[in-house]
Amino acid sequence: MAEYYISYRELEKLFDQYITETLDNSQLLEHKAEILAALTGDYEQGNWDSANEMISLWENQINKPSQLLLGSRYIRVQQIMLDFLKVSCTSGLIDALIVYISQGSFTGFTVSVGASITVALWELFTTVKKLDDWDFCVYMQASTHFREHSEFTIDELKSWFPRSEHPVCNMHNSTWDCDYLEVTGNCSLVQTKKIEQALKSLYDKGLLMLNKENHKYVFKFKK
Amino acid sequence: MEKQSGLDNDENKLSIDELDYEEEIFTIISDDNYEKTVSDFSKAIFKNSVFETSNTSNDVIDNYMLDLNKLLKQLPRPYTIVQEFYHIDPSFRDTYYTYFSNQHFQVKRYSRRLSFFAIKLSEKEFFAQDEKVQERVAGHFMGACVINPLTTGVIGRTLINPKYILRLKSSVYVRLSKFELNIYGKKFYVDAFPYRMQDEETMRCAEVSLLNLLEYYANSYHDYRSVVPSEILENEKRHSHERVLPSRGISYPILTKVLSEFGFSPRLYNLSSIDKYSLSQITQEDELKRCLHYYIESGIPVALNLLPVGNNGSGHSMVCIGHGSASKELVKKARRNKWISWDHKEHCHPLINSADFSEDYVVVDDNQPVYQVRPFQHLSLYPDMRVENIAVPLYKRMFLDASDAAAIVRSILHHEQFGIDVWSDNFLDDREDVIIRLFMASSRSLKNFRLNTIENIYAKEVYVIVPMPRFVWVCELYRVENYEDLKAFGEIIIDATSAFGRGHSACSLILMHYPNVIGIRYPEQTNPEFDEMVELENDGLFEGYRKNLQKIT
Repeated sequence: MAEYYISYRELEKLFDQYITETLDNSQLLEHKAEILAALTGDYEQGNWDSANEMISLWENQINKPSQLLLGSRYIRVQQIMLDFLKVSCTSGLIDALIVYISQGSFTGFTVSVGASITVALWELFTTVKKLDDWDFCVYMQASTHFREHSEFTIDELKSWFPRSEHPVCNMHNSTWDCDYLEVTGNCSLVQTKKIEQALKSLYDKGLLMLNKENHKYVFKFKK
Repeated sequence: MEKQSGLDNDENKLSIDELDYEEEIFTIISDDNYEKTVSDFSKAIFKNSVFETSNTSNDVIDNYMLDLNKLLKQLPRPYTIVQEFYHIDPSFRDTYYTYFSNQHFQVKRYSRRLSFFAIKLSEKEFFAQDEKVQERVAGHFMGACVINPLTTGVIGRTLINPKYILRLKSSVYVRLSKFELNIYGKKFYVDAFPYRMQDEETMRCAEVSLLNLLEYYANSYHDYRSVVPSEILENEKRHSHERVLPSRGISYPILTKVLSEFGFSPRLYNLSSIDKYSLSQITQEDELKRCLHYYIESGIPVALNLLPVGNNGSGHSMVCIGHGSASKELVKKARRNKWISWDHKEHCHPLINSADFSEDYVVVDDNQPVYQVRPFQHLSLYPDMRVENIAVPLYKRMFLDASDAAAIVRSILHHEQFGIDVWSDNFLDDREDVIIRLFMASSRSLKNFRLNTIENIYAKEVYVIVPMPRFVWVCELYRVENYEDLKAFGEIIIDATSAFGRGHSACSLILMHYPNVIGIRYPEQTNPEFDEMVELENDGLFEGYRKNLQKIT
């Protein structure tokens, strides 16, 4: 994990790379400006005007790259959040959110779809970055498998964590300094009740929903 | 001579008799007598100096004298209190003539001063001519505290060495000033930071913070003069849109304006004006704390403005003068947030910021007893208050502020020509973490420290010869295992007298010291290149600079 200072231009390049690595990337391409606006702005208390302005700046930047406007401005990012951005692109999490918003769940508000996407994504990233270690791990594991498992049980979740037979964590690169990876190759999170606690915490924070289906508790991503 | 009763009027004598306690110049507090003596001592002061009444209940008196009682019980026993019954305290006398003398009900003019010695002291010893005895007495001087004749703000100007007050689990590092006090014709010196309580009429927390800060700077540097409360109020009046007496407190933009009227070039950092980033877990508070830490590590006491979260309710002000030791938990967190150059992320040395290591800060807060060590998140006694503004009284030629200095340092340390990756690769392991310690120092003091602590004779010479402005920003570099002993392997020194625009690059560099090499730039050098590169043999680790703060264990 690390902290970087990167220019907006570099962030755009990185995002382009994530788009390329995503199988069905049409939504990401179409709403690139809105997503980049979510990553670079501050929309506390649903600041829609600010979101619209930032989207315009990014649309302009994407069409006519400029050093003066956004290119040379710097943003602070952390590896862990870049990893989450990548996961949420490639797993279809952002896609699903865009589709949900585009289908008109904001009917009745005089807010553009673009600004709604930006603010919703900003809220998602702002909530996720505040998560504690355990909660973050669990949410990342679940997000990584969003495409195949938009709903999951606790047993499925546990199976995605590293264990001695497969000691590679989905969310870590080789330099990750993780406290939970044991010498045996198991993840100490799975051994304890921390996963249950983290799921409850994510439910309390409004990131996950809980249903009971066929006598099993099933978690879903909240839209 | 040593009886207060001889100095007082009849009315006061009566109250002393009622207490069955006679005030004396010398009072010894020991383990055997401290509960009763401290209580009687405080009551006598209350009845004789603060509030002339014979029928106030003991509970009420205890309540009024709670802070003094706490202070007296905190000092290490046995100790001696030397009382001056008629003391003229410049700040109280000033408020007396500008405010209290205009009131209908009488307020006394004289303060008292209590001086504390960490030994059992007799009158004979105190006034002894023998040099050894004098030295012994002076060596045990803990400080002094003025008692003002007010029911609110009874504790006036207090100068006590924190080593006698703080009971610490781990060391703290504080900025103090050496004050000279004349007690019964004898000079004593104490390393302290001024403390006083607010009287709630002429001075609120912000004015008290200002007065303490200004007194510290006036005592420490010739560039500043001493100030009395009425001068602060006069300046406040010029910039405020309503009357300033009785005081209702001041906002921080006005506080910094007042500081600039007294010769400072202050910076005001506001929490909400710090950029927020969606892709970073570093919060605005983390960034503000870093900024605070850079100044505290530079030995620059700052004023802190705390507001309730959500900004509903009144705020508070205090002065921050030091920081605590590194917290293991925060060191771990700082290692996870290490800076990596985006362009060279595959092979650069990650930088760990030591400004993230300390959880505790030492504050001087009029709502709390003198010198408090408290976590940054809970500096105030009030719940849910957080630091919202930091006012930094900078010297007029300190143009480069902390956040800009940090940006320049970050840029230089990962620079393809001057960075650690270029010059320390033979010394460090591949992609080894490096801890950085950023602070400002006076070049005179820095040169003197390096001259006395660096072993390599050629390195000493370079440090002494290189021209430096009066203040420089220094970034020391440590291997992780050497940080606890503060043994640096390198450092860069940048100019604090140029603004950010000129040098988001090596143009600010004055000196770079990496293992076995020192590069220096002279003032005429306008290009980002070194005038001299000195190769050093056997260039070992060197001491981290320690002269900005005093260690209290």
